[in-house]
Amino acid sequence: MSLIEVNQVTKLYQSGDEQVTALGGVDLKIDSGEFLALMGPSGSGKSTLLTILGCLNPPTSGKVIIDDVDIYGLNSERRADFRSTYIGFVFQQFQLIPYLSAAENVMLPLAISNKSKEEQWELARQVLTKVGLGNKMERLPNQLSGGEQERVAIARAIVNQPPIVFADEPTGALDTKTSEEIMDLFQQVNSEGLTIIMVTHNKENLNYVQRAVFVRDGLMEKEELYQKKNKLTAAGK
Amino acid sequence: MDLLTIALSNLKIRKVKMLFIVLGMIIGTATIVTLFTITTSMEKELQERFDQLGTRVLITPEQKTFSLSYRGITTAGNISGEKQLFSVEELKRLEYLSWWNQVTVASPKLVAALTGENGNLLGLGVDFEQELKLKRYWEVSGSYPEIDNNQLVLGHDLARRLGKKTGDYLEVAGARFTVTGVMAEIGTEEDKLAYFNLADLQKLSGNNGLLSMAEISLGGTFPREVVEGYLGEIVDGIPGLTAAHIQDAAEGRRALVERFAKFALMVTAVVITIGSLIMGTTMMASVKERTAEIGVFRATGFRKSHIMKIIFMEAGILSGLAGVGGYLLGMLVATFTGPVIIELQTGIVWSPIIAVMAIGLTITIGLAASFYPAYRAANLDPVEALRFI
Repeated sequence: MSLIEVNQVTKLYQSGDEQVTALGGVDLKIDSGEFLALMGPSGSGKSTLLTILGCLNPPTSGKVIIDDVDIYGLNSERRADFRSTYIGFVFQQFQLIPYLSAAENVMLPLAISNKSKEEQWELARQVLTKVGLGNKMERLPNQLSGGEQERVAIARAIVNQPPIVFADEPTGALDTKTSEEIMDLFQQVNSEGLTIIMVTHNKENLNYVQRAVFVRDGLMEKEELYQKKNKLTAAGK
Repeated sequence: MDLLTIALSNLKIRKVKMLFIVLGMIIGTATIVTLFTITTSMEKELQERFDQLGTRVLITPEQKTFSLSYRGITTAGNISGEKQLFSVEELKRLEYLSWWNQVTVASPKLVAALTGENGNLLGLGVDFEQELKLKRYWEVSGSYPEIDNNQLVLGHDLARRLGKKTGDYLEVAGARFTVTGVMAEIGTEEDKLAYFNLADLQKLSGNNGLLSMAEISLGGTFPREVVEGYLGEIVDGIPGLTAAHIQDAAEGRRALVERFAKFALMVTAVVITIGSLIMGTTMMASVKERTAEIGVFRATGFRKSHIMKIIFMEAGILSGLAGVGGYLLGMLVATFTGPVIIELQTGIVWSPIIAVMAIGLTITIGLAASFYPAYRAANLDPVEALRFI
């Protein structure tokens, strides 16, 4: 049984008088614990697919089932609740809240939970330590490097221990060395059982994923498996 | 971390902008507080004055032609031979009126023109015990006259005209009177009178048992219609007597207070409108600035209601601070300007009701003006908001 099932999902946009097809009937299954890349040129529909999978963007037709839940059968508020427990997001440009410290940014998904401040702080400390920023918890985002900000964003995405993390061009704003460090981190998180779905342009990142789905003109063009290229697998980890 | 922490942190990072909003709202609230505090203080002062005075009615003989005015009511100086005086017995008939039990003071008076040392003078005979309950503003250097001792008190202007002071003697209608005191200046016709005990003046003027008028006071303040009803009972029920409601200076003050209260309401309406627009515009701009941030909140699982709560908390904190600051500033301004601008004599009233209303009103304006921005923020399409990224 797949964790995520996408059945004949379409998404049409109205652009003036013209109707634009962003997705033209996509079928996709993603297993629990998978590290999947969505690849494709700009305007191919991969980001639209990511937002639809992320419970943010209702499709025009078709169904998205996550863990047996038809997510677009839920109302907007119930879907928000679903996101808070099932999904972590890592955005392009990190999107940390500028007036919150690294720890507070990480605690953001916990702000609407029933966890006490002490519990929240402890969880934030644990994940920030895991991403190598245990000593920079009080820093504001503008006091951190790009790589460090990305790590905080990843920590924020996983602090709630969601089963699925979506990442939109997570290395798009990073240099090669930092990108590798971040991808190592994603791989480490994935090895702990989290399903990661990543939109990327960077072919280097395919070294870390198990599968890549290529999207073009709103349709799935092809998919490739990378089991043997996976660095962790290759390294015998 | 909770929603309040997020709201507070956002306010902290936008300190300068938020400071200006708070200052704007403080000025608005202070304006309202100043005006309402001054109005309340004026009303209190006025009420105290009315309570002191009671409701005054002047009883006089029914006349058609008049020439002498007393406190705005023409009372004597008949030139057509009409009745000028009435008897004490006639006055006693008033005691059968249904409302007489509400009368706290009844002060009979006789006005008589007398021949003095340096020409004529106008004498006012009163029962000093009763009259002093009505004329709390009377001040005399010396003492009030005793009955049957040929004593009188001179009004301020009369004493000056006659060149008399306390302890001097004065020939009046062939009798020698001792001036036991001189009234402090009042600023009305009363300064020109000679004050006798009622019985002394009745005897001196040959009007034993007769009165020119009687001033009565009803305890407390009565609506105009009620007083007019009472007066009607006298006019209709007691032949030969008529009655008039004395329009005290306090009445003029009441008109001023009413005008001031209307002005305060008008300014309040303007301030509320401007305050709402400023708050609404600022919160709307803040929401636009934070579109991406709101997208992140939504993607992270925040409900629409969470977003609205954050915006309302920010607006509530700002307007709460402005409410407290505005109340304190307004009271400060009222304390210093009240006595100068509108000649308040009783001081400013520190009313907890005004405090609660000022703070409550400011918070309500802040929240109401933030409703639309909060609604817009909550209903931002997360995908559109994230596209902003």
